[in-house]
Amino acid sequence: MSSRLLALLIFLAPSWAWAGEPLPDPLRAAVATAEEEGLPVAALESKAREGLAKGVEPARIQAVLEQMMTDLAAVDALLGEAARGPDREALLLGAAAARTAGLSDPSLRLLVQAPVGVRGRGLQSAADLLRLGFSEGDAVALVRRACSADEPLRALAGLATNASLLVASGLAPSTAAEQLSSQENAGRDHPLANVPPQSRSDLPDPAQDSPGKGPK
Amino acid sequence: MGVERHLLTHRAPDGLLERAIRRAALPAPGWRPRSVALAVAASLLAGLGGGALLARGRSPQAETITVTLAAPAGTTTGAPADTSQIVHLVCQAPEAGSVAIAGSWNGWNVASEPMRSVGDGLFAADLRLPAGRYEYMFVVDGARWIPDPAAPLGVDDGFGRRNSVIEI
Repeated sequence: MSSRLLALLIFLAPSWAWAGEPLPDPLRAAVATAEEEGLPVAALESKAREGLAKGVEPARIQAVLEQMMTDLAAVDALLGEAARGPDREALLLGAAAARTAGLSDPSLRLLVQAPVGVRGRGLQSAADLLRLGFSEGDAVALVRRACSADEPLRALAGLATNASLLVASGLAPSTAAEQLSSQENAGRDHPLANVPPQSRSDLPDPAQDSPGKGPK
Repeated sequence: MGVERHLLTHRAPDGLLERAIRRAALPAPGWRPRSVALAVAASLLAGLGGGALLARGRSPQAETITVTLAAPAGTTTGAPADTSQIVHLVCQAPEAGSVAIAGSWNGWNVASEPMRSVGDGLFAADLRLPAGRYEYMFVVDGARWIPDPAAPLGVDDGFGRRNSVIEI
């Protein structure tokens, strides 16, 4: 076999893993089991296809899927009726991610009280903040505040990203949390106003850049 | 919350940033600057030919690039369709013949989002994505999966790699 043909085969090998193509039997069985148990399957199927596309061995993919199913079933049981809403999949995925990141069950129940359609995203943000080293108290407070904003999805979309950049700039997570919180309270200063100058030489003026759309 | 600017710093050789701006910051067809946001950043992957978002500015300090990401600047929340954005991604991979983006929005299909070569080893792509949270990686030459080192957020993919995260 020529090296060119071999390269072509390697390039094309994962193509069957993409959407529309059936999954290999063991993975399809895992997804079917999840469906039978009433768990959301889209994320499981996506993870299976991700693994296949990356060339991961099916046995390892199956192990990851089983862990996901275990995590989803656990939060499903924990949340009970609260997990039966129209945002069930996003909620369970967010809850599982947050719990894996270290969120306690009482805090999880607290964040689930956010509006339907927002709470799953909020839990994902909480998971991100915890992984960045934010305390549970800070993470919950910031997410709850974002969830109650006039535009909660937009507030949540920027929350973990801002937090990550503040931490990357050298701020301790606790200081970053204070700054994020104070910025939201003040509603006028840039979230990175206290980032060391050498890291913000290209910082545009939000007021100039987007008239009338400055941070709240 | 209006436009937010985020910063990162990365090391880069002299001149790379300017080339990236010139070559990669071309608006996609149908570009509407008032209704969509441009997510830009830059990164360099030494040795491996890594991925990057678009470089935007440079610190006066030697070898420090200032990277800017723009959050949604458009419409109000509510329907996800109202908050879709164009995300402009740039990958530096001097040794690569091709680079693609595979992510949770395209079923991890390495064929659906090829990046265009813009010269100097840079590859670029514009993606319009509805509001949401997405994981992705760059795929070099159809086989080498690399995270975007400029992405502020990343997450363990469960397979021993780290996916980059876009939040819209």
